[in-house]
Amino acid sequence: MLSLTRYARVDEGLCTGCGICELVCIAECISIAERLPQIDLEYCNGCMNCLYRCPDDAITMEERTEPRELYIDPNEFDQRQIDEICEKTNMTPDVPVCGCHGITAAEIAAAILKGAKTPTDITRMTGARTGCKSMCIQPILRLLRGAGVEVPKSKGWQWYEITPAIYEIPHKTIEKYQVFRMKDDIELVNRILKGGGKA
Amino acid sequence: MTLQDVKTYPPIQPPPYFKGMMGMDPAKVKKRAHEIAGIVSVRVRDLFPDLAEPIYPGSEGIAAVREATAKALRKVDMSMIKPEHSVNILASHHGFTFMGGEPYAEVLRTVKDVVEERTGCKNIRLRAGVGFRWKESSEYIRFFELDDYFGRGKAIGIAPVDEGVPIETEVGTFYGLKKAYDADWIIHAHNNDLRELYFHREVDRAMKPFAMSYARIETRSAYHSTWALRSANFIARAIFESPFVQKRFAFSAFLMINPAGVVGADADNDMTELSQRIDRHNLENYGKAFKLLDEIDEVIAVFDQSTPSSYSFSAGMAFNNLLHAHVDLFNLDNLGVHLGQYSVPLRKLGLGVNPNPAIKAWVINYMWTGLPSHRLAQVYPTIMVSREQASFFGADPQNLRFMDYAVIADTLDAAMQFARRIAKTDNIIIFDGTFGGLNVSESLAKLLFEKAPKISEVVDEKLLPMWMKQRGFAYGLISSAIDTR
Repeated sequence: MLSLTRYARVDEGLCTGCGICELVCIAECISIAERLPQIDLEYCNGCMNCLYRCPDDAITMEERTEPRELYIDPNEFDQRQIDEICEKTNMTPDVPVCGCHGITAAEIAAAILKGAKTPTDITRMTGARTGCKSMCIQPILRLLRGAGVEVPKSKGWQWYEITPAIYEIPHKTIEKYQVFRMKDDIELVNRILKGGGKA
Repeated sequence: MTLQDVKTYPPIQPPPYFKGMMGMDPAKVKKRAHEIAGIVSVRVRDLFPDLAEPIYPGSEGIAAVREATAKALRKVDMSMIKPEHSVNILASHHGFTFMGGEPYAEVLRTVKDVVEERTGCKNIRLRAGVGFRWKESSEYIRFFELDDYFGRGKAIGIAPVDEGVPIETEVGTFYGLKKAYDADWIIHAHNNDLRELYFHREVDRAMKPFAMSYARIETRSAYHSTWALRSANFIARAIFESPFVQKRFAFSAFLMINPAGVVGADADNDMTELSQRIDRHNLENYGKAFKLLDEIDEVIAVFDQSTPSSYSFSAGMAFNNLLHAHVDLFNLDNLGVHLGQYSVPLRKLGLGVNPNPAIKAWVINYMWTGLPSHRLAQVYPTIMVSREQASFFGADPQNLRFMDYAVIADTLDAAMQFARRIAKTDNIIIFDGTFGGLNVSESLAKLLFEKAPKISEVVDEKLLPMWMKQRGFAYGLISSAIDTR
């Protein structure tokens, strides 16, 4: 269970209406109307992306009167379906996709089974991407694809496309750059995905 | 060993705190960690006399850094840059965390001045990236008045959530930051700090920022999550060698440091050559210090710098190197994975890296947020000094659960008393941003002097040749590679 206690507030006197906050908001809860950001507090996770990227220092964080609590329980869904999504993504269900908050691949898969279609939906449902906002986007995009979801382009700069993973690298590249130990690492990944000691 | 063999000095005065948005107002800190009773300092060149001598700090002051940078740039071809062109000097926030940040700022100023003088180009911009803490580079730019130096609006901080640009590589598309590459030419201005050995593994060290500081979250996520092994460092190489980067790349200029301080500067049009020189330099200059950390069998780590946990320094060694000191991460046969999507299954196989069991407790006198650190608090007894700093941590979206695993002490002295009781050791190491030496307790000073000669011998005779061979370097032909003076 992730308990979120803060939300963003705009100082209208400082805001110049540049719109960067809208472009970087991971929960897509900011929209510009009449040159000022409007924040939908129902979905603001308090991730601070808007605050960090505001060139006018016009955003501050405020305490919620009641915390916003987020969790999707994987146990409420068919375990075989969760395993299948993770397997197609080359992940084990217990992997913490969001290391900041310990949100596992199983919980992300459960959110997808509950109807998440984009990284924004997953953020709103689980709180993933609220922390460092940097590590988790690839596993999230891959879990969505693994579930057969066609992820649209983001409305701003929230996400771009899936990038190559280690297990997708062509043989000629592996041979060309041996110092990076790609061959060994790929064998290791395959060993993990085959269930551990069964190399 | 006699007492005379253990050379200790009064504590080294660490750099002043930097006031930034990721830390509590430093004016509220009542006592600095080096002021703890019984703390002494140990000079790294007393431990390892063969370590290259620093030019900074030194008698010439910051002028020595400018001179070394200008000298390194003399061998660089800049003829591709024409007066009518635009140039982006690409930088990173990490460089500003050494010795108060001035040496790195001076490298950036010098590169700008030399390029302007030699090419006649006036449109030279600074693009300073970050890993986490999206606003940090902007704060450094303001503090060092780099916006005035480069010209109003020409020096900006860039972050991995800014607008991206696709970069086609030989293995597919990765994403860089549009503002990093919005010029005719780019100059990669970085530093060689050992920093995160558990990630870069001293392979292609100079390239890493192309997958980090100048990269979008998608690329950073790939590095940390869907690769996350030794091979992740290939991402930076793939991006650097892409036609997109190659057609803009002019040269690189690096601030060269070691645990003793700034030892010079290096620059090259050939990044592969430069990167290999840096890898060799770091194996030579950090190998012994890293292995010495492994000799510490029990210790309390005290934090007292305007940096997050992993990136706080003691004698130029980042804390994360103590965190992983029990594994030889220079040895490429070791996996060294501790996060990413393979970390949990690898630990189940007994192949992952657990945190160093020698760390018995950590005390946070002053530390920045902005790096996920709650896992450390889950592993080690954690004592936070001051309720206000505890509240600051609790409000950080990357550390929302940090204080669930920490206790609070109202004063540093109370924190240390408690830490000693639970850790049952007098060994203390302080991560307060010092270079040249480290602030430690007398018992730890003694241990370091006892162990250093043997470590020096083992590294010279056994480990360094192995590390070199693994990277395809000829052992014995190295020290002359970088002209650091």
